[in-house]
Amino acid sequence: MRTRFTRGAVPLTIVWLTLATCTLAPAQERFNRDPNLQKSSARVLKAFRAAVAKPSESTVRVQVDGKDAALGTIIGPDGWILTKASELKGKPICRLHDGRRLEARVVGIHEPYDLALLKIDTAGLTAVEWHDSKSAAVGTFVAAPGLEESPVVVGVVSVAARAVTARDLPPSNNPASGYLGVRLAEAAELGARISQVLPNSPADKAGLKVDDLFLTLAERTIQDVDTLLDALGHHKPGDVVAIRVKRGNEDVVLKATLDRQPTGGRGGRGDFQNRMGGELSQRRNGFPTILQHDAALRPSDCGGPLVDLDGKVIGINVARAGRTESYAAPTQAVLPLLYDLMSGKLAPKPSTEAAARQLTPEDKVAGARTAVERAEAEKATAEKKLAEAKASLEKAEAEARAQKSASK
Amino acid sequence: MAAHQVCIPYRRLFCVVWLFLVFGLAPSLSASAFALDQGAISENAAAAALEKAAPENLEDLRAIQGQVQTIVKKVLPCTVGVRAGGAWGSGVIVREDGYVLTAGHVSAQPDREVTLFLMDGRRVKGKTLGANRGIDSGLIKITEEGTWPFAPMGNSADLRPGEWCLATGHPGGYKSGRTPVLRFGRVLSTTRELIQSDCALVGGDSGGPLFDMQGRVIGIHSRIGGPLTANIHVPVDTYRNTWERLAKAEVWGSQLDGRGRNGAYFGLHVDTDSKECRVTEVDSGAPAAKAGFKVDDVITRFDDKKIASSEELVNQARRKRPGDEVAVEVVRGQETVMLKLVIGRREGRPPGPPPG
Repeated sequence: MRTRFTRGAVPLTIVWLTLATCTLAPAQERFNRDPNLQKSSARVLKAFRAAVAKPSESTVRVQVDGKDAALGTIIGPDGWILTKASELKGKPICRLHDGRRLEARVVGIHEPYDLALLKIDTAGLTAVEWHDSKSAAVGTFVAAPGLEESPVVVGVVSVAARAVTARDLPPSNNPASGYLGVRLAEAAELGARISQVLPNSPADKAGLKVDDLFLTLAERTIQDVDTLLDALGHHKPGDVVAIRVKRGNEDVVLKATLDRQPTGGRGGRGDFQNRMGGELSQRRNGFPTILQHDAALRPSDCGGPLVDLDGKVIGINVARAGRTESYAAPTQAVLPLLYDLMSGKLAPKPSTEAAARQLTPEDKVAGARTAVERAEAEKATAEKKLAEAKASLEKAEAEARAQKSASK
Repeated sequence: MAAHQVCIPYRRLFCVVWLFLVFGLAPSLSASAFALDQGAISENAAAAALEKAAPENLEDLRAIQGQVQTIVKKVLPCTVGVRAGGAWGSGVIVREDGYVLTAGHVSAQPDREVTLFLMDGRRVKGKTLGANRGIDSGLIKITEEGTWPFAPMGNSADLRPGEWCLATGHPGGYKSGRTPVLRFGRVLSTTRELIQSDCALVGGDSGGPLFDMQGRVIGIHSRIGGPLTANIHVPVDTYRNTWERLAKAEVWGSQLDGRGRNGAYFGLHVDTDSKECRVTEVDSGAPAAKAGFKVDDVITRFDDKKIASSEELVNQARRKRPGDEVAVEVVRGQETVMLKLVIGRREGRPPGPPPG
């Protein structure tokens, strides 16, 4: 299909979007590339200025060796800054909203979220305002403030904050599922007939042959690709499964040792498509909880805050993870880490972090004080909740008593 | 009516045969079932903000955000994951009785059993119906008993570049711990054959829906180019125009777009929705233009072979190389005209990596 546009027409390579067996069909089409129409046009970004005005004062640019490595989020007025740990491949320098450039020390690293806590020697900074990430429903508008007036990038919450598990992979692509290494004939009337046995695959080693008709795998009836994938989904790599096939007029029983899904196949293609449209973060998965959004961050724009239209922080950007997705560590996941990051409990090991110095006694006092303040604030909230809960319990009990006596 | 360019014979990447099934009624176009929950005031504010070339301030953004969140609640449950063979795609339910729009290369062959994954975790069986391989439209029917959440079909002919739109789908394939993934963007261009938006798509999204700001389906995700602004959707109008053929599990059209093995270029678009081979567009300066093709010409003979459909033309066109001279017979009004077409060579980058 070819379509011409009067402006900025460029022929491009196209790929189809089904994952897995079908399709990667490159095609060429011409696209409208008028930047004024795009959602990330300067005019749209400008509309977000009021939302990022305050949080951009709490955002720093983290540079390593003179290059932009990440953004950072000021979480305490006396120089505490969160950023993306794996982007710090040298001694970090923070450029503040007011133009100052200050050397930073890495005082804590939380590996699961790839977050580093930096400390700069200053005071009187504006810390971000946190907001409950649970309120950031799908469709919430989000912006990533930088140091400029307009945000770096904007988007919407694509998926509300969720815990990431092995379930997060589609069943057939799940490396936790067993892999056999066969393809089935496309024509449904052929049943689960093998059309291809991949060389050196578990199927090959077990002695499966083209034209074998699947009957059962580990006692599960196999009728088609779906039932085969389902059956394999119940097994993990290394499992030995009994497979019964019809070969000619004979029933044949074989044993196969399942393997893990080879890389470079489906995963490789997904990776290729995900890299179309921009660079991805090196560390882009393995986070325990993520808030997924569609703002097209650059890897060097991670580490900064993700804010809603009120300018409140609903998460810290931790990865550009794919063509369609960026990840933020949700506020609810980040807040509990701050104690350990500030207290030195998660201090980087000197052997692996040569640039890191120990916390100064003043830092320790400041960190401990902040931790006490936070704990006190939480205590007050908890006490309030407790009082409310007690009150509603009393009310409910009173109502129950009243009803009981009325019914007598 | 979809038009297709016969610019390049395209190697077949899908082992597909298109077949089919019957259904009479076109889907309801009414959006009334989808009336927005919000109060009249915020609805008006959203309408006003959406009318602007770009939102101007936080109030505009809040109004649009409110509209997005209202729509999202209704459209996410209608968005399904599709497992067809070993491939993952997406789809959208557009009727209560379980008709699912998808991409032609997702449904692939008719009468094939597929599994659909709903947002609430239900897995249901479905059957592939028809497809137009040219424009990449496809239809699936849920075969289990029940009534299903659905989104109404809108109109793609009325879309304007710059209009806001929403995309949902299952990038990377359906994942049980994740709701359908929302993207927000703008329509960047439209033709009868495609919608381009900056709602970023990736493998697994194929067949997923693009919605207008009323929550009506306006397109179905098909393919992508390199930039984040190159996301291509099948216009929803073609589904309505060819509903009976799709529902009857008819498969037609050919994969014309893309780069041929030898880079042959015609610069000619033909109607893939109709039975005859009617020219819908001629690229200016292209070989077809030089040969004198006009819009509405009906091609009846190509290189001395009788042509009765766009598919037959494509089959013949596939065999040609750049530099070949072909005699083409067209019917123009009452006249029969002979044209001499010298096939050109496509310019541009070579295609992406080979199919896996």
